[in-house]
Amino acid sequence: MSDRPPAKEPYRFGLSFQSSPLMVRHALSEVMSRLQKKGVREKDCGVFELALAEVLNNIVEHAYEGSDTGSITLSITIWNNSLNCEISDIGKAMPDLSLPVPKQKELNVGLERLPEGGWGWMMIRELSDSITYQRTSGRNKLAFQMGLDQA
Amino acid sequence: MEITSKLVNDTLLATVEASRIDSAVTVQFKETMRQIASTKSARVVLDLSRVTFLDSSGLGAVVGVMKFLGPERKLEVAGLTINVAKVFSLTRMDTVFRIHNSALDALAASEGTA
Repeated sequence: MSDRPPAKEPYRFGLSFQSSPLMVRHALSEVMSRLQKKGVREKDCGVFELALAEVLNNIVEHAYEGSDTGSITLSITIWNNSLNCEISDIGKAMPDLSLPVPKQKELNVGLERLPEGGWGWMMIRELSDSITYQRTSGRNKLAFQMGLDQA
Repeated sequence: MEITSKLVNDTLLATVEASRIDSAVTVQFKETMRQIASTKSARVVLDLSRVTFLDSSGLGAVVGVMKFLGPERKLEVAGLTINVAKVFSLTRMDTVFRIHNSALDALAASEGTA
């Protein structure tokens, strides 16, 4: 572990990319390498990568309905042991213009009826400390925040 | 996506050599597993010890594989890394799959039940 003194300024960076699964993978890899360079612990990186992946997959799959030409913009800020992430897109709005409220899936069912998806929002909510969603001027803006282990 | 496999007694052991099972590879993953599973065996164990990232679409693909293997030939998983284990526990899929600490443990479990 490095003995880096606490940052006096927020560390902020952004990325823009297209809405395909492969671009999502590249973006996650870029974000993770930056967080690691900033000394974010491996455990926090793992949790954040998973939450961000679920948000981005949701945009690719639902906001842009699988089209790989949509644009996604990310802005990430690390400040005071907190990681804030804003994601925006100009795809379809969330149903009812609000964040989905996930239900736990019934698992006591036959093999054929086991769920093969639909966990994304439950995971995002469990992995983050807070999450907000706004739809303004045709743009989806989702922001979530999580605390970081102090180095 | 590379998945290697070998038959050890009654167990078909499939090892995912890639580090990620994400939405970019779910179709490939299921297709490769379908080919691998054409080798007859009593059990199929999926070794995930090299996988450091699995998202919900990746988990869905693993469940999909479990479904096409059918109830008589249940899919078991082995060697979950910390981030992968988290996805299984958050979704409570850890209650659906038989999970082994490692591929070796999974193979030993087979001898025990033979």
